[in-house]
Amino acid sequence: MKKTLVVLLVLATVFTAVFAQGAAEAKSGKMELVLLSAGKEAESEKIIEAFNKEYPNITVTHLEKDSGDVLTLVQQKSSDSDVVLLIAQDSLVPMEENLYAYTTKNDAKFSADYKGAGNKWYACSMPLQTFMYNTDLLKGDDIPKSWFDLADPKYKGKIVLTNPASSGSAYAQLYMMYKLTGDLSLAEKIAKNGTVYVTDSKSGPQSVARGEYALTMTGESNVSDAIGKGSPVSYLYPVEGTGRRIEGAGIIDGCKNLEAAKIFMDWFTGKGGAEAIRSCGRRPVSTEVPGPDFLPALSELPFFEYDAIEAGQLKKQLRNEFAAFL
Amino acid sequence: MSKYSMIENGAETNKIKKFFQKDFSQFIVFAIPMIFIGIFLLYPMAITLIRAFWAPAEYTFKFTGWSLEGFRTFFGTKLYLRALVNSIIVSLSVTILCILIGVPMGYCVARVKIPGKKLLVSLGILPIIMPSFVGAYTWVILLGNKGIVRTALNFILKPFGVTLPSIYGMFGMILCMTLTYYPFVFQMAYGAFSGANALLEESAMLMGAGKARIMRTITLPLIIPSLGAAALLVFVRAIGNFGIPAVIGGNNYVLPTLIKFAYGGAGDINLASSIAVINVIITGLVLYIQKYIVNRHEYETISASHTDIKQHESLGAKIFAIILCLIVLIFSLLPQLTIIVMSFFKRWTGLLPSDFTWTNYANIFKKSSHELFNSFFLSIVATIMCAIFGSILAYITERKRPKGSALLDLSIMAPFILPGTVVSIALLSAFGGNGLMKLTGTYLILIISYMIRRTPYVYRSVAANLTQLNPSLEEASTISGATWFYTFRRVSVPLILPSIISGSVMTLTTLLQELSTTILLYGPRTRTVPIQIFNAVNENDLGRASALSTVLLIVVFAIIYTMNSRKGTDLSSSMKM
Repeated sequence: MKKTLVVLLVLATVFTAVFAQGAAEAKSGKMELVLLSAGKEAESEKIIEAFNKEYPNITVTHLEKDSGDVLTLVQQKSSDSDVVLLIAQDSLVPMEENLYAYTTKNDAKFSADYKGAGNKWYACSMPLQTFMYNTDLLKGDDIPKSWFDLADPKYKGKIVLTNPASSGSAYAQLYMMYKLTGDLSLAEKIAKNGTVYVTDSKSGPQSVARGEYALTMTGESNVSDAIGKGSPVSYLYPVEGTGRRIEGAGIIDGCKNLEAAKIFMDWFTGKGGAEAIRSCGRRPVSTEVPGPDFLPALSELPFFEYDAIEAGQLKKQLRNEFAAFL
Repeated sequence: MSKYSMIENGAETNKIKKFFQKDFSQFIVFAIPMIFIGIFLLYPMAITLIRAFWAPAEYTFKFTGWSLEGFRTFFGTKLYLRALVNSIIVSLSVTILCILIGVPMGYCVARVKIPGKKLLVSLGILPIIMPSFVGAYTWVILLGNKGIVRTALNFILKPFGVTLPSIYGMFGMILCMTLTYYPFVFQMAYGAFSGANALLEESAMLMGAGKARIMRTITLPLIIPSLGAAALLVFVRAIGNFGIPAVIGGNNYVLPTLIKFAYGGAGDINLASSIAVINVIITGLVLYIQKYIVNRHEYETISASHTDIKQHESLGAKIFAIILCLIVLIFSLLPQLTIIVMSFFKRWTGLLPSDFTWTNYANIFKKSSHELFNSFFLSIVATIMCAIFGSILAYITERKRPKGSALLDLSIMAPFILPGTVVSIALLSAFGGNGLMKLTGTYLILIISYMIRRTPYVYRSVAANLTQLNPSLEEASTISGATWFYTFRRVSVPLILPSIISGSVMTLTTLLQELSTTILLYGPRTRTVPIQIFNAVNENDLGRASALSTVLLIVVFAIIYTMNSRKGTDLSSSMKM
């Protein structure tokens, strides 16, 4: 019976240890911070490294989820995180009720268009969508110039896009097509052109970099990243322009590490944060630092109107219409 | 106080005394796992079933009103119906192909005298142990439009005017899943062929039956129960696989893709639940058909002794067996080889990898120490719990046969026949959100979900062992006055140790690579190595992904090979249904 007791005691200890994790946090003047990002893991690591250079006393852990998952977690108040970042405006706006209003030290630098109501969030970068093509597979006149070229039969089976049902950026592309024609006729023609719609927005640019497909539409950061890694790819902004979108960061209401979160937001909205964003290949909204490597300056880009609020409202309807003809 | 009432009082105390002297440990040991299963499996499944009939929810777990909208969406949208058809076609084809590959291979390894059997069996389990999406990416590197194997084969086939079809689509999905899941059939067939009663075949031979007739009327029917279990396992895995369709399915979506669309894309846990329920109904139907076929072929063999099975020794048989095993193993282990090669290079964007480097390994220590700790800590704790739970449960259901043991049996085995995505959605809908029990992001929820999904391995392995074990030793111990727990500890456990070990090895090695449950339930503190691999693959950092995968692969192979070198342990017994 003694041995049984010992076994039970060991089990009990294991369970208590498991339960107690987190409760026994170090109280040594060190601070903790949890970031919840819709970006890549490598990007979080770069941002944290830069942040820790200035604030080595804050231990930062990070978590990457799709923007839809982030929205669900924040709306459920079950994210266990302090700060959300690299979240597109269409997802930030619906989560505003669960974000904490904090006016950062850099508030004056942001115009009203670049922050949330009541300073719930601040824009950090622009997830602009562009054509990315494989330079071994498409050359000269074969490179598409317009959104409408994607429906050209010569690209049949050569285009890979992401299904708007699973990805925020892919939905943004669908909404842009809607804005161009006022309906989904263009999107339908592209879908009927043998275009492949993958389930993850990160695998399209990878396939193009490998030469599995010739062309995709993706966020600028993926293009900068692929060129930086030596992949045979290049970019082209469609002549009609691309939607002017922003993505941002904000503190989650009721978070555990509010003080550390404020310090982070002050840093992230400043020059240090902008440089970290730039090092990820993203285009910072701050004019204090240049655009990402390998990509043109903001002033050279063609734009058309992108209404993030309307995009959010039409989401369900456009997604359903799209699913019907896929 | 009168004398009378004193007697009465005495009787009363006696009753209480007797009550406490009664051996309730058995009841408690039975009740605890039932409560555990009730909270962490039946409750989540019930919640999922209820949610399936709630109105669509956008980014909320709250009650949205009763509705059949989820099912209406499913059966009213072409995209969904096509995904349903795709899922069924893929899973059935994969199951049939796995049987066609696994059975002959299992027979060859078990019944032909060839060298290196332990190595073959150990290698022949590796394909199921790698996260399937990693496998899928390596298949793109090998067989994609720019894949090295495809380019080489096309070069060879060019003079004949043949080009290989693209890997993207149904063909690729079926191929990759078959090469991933055939080990279930191979391991079970190997176990069944080498464990079958030799006397039956020998007597048939003595009576003059030909080889083909023996195979048709004795050997194959005897392995049908094992084969049925393996086929079901393959079907369930195939229908629950998200990684392979996501990477190479192209526009051919399957049920897990729809769950991802519903939950990941639209934050609609209710629609995801409806899809999960449809998924369970299909699996249930297949289970029913499987039971029907197997029950028609259930045989009871009675034997007192175990004789070694005669093995084919002819040169022709040996050459055939070796060639068959090598072809299957080389093809199915290509992803593992690719990963090992890839881990020493910076990129593999063209035909061949480029830029040799050690940094992928150096980075593991810098960037993955926390994840490595988590992976090993979670897997080991869960494995120990599974081993304890699984073996006690198997002992009770097998030896004590308490009332309701059939229910217990069914509950323990349920996660085995439920697709991983369904269990994850169930756990998420019960413990996600900010409800009564909010457990997402904790170590506890991961350990619990691992236990729920993996206890069947130890449970089955031990139960199979116990049925073969004569209970007289245990009876002798009990007669001598030992309690059941003492008997269990000092007599049964030493006897069933090999099966506990093989079940635990299966648990540990698959948990080290677990992704489908972890990915929905992890938090910033509980990131594991497979999560990091998944992110690295998605972020085109194949070097990092492969270095991490290689480390896991080596650990897993070392564990399995060590175990297979021990006598009496047999991985296939942990997969029996």
